[in-house]
Amino acid sequence: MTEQVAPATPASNDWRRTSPVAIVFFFLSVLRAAINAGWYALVGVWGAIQAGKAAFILPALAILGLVLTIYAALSWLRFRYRLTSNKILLRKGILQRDQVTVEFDKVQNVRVLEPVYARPFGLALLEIDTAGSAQREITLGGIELPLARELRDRIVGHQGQKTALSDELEDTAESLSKPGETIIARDNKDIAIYGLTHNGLVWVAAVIGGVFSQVDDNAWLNPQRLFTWMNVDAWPLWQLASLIVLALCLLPLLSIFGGLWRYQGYELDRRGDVYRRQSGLLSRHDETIKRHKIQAATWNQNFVARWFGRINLKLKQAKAGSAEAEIQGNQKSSFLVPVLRPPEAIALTNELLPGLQLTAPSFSRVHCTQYIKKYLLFGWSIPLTVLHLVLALTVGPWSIALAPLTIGLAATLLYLLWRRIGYAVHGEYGLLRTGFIGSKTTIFPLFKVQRVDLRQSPSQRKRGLAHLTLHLASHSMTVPYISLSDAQTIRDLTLFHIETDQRPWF
Amino acid sequence: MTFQNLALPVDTLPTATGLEFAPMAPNYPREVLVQSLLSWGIVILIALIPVAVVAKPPALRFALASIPAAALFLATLSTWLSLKGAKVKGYVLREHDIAFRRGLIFRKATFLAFNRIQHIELSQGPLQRRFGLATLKFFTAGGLSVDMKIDGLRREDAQKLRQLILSKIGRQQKLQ
Repeated sequence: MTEQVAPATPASNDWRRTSPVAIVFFFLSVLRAAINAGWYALVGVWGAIQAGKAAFILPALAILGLVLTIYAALSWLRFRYRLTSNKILLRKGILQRDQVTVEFDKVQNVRVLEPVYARPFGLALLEIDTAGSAQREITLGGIELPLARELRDRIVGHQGQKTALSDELEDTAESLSKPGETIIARDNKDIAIYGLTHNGLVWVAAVIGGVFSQVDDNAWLNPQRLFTWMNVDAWPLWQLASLIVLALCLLPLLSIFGGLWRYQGYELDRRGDVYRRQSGLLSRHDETIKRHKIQAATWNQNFVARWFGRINLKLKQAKAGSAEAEIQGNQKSSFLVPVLRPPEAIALTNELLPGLQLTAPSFSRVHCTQYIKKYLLFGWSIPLTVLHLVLALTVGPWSIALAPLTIGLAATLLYLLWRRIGYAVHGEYGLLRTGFIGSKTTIFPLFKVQRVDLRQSPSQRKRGLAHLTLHLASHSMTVPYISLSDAQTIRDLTLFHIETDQRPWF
Repeated sequence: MTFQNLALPVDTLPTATGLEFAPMAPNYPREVLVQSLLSWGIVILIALIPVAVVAKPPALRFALASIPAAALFLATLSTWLSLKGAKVKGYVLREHDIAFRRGLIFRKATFLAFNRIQHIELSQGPLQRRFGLATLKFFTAGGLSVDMKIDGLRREDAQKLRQLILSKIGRQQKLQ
């Protein structure tokens, strides 16, 4: 199969080095590691400035820079790779010398990155996530872009070999050699909207800032009093307030820039069952996903996206299976298609999940009063009590009178949360919607579920309700206070699909 | 409204409702009792140390005595609950999947299809060895921890169960 893909690779029997440009890559990664490990050294720098010993800082930084550069250069010198038809061998390490074998079958994810510093040289980084090896992530820094792309195609082509049926495999090999067909493209305006939607907290901060700046001198929340310890009480109040407002207006701008940096010029193309996205302002990202590897698709619409009427579609793949990979890899393991209009989102989801024919999904709801009552009683009663204790001690005992208000507020919040919870089954697919003001809808093939849990408390047993949890290879989902008969039917249907569907789930 | 475009009518589905769960090994509650008494015994002994060390004043001694008393109360409650819990546990082996039920107050049933099992682990603690019992742990993909843990099986049963499920997994993989 690999013979069909035109081998642009040079004779691969010898150990090869990457381009010297990779020194920049090694420098950046060791710098990142150094900052992660020693950010508290900044406190020392601050202390030195305070002590009037600023003169030592520049030479110290120069020495540090030199050491890191030497380290990066040595890392590059020691880093060698060898390609064979079905694996990559690596030799690396300055003091501790490692030899790593990356088998194409075991690769979870491949990305071709073109960072700013490598683009002028026509070079790229190949990032490879592997499953089941000690080294989880491997980066081939500074190889020629065509070679990176060809390796990526080879790895993606190989992935199907173990699990997919043979005709599907031929499809893959054939489709990889064909040029891609662009199915989604986003312009700068779309991506600017994405920048605004991808971080809802920015807006909360901006609103708080707006309120904060309107508080006048006599209010109990006097900013001047708050900032006394920062020694800024000498500043005129309006100056301080406008500074804060300016800073908070900058946040959405920064957010837009962040969005453009990563997703400018977004294009999604399709070659057979391989989907590929390319994007990035100066550093280009190039990532692929195979259709049969998708465990779930989610439609994310927070309140900003809701206001713009857009949906961010995320495709989830199986987790690598270690705690650390879950923490750092979550962002990477989901494949994003940003700011789709609802019809686009539905059409793309129907295409990505074979057999799905969604039009406008309708959802069933869970038990309203039980959901609100039980979460108020068992989930929120302790935080509410603590809140009232704090209020009683700081503001005065009369604040107990506010209890009906806070409880009412909590119940309203729970009502809003309940209103978003919805579940449905469409053919072979399960749908679950959650959310508060915005919403998040997960659509997943029932046969890819790994395990089903059904839980009942004594009061649920009396009322014929249950918690149903479906565990996917990517994440788990719980439907709380669902009617027992629906829970049982979904369980039976899910088990039926798992046990009768012969397609590979992974 | 919940179910749309299904391939087959819901009422023709094989159902897992009303399954007859087989109880755990007959001596499993006894093992749970011994386990609970042993671990709580250590806790109570440690809780007795302050009372034994402090000679006076009597008021303080009396106050310190409340610690082992509280431990004793918790020990009784927890032992009683785990004993009851051991009797509620049960499992069913079906053609294509395995179900495990547990929980005295919060009832929980887990369903695991054989063709999603990645590997199976059989383990035996020192106390379990004395009682001839074993624990079976099932792992699937994606889960960071064990997906189904059946303790209180007779060792021979656990071995047979593992063998049976492994052979079924093997057969399915050949089919694919």
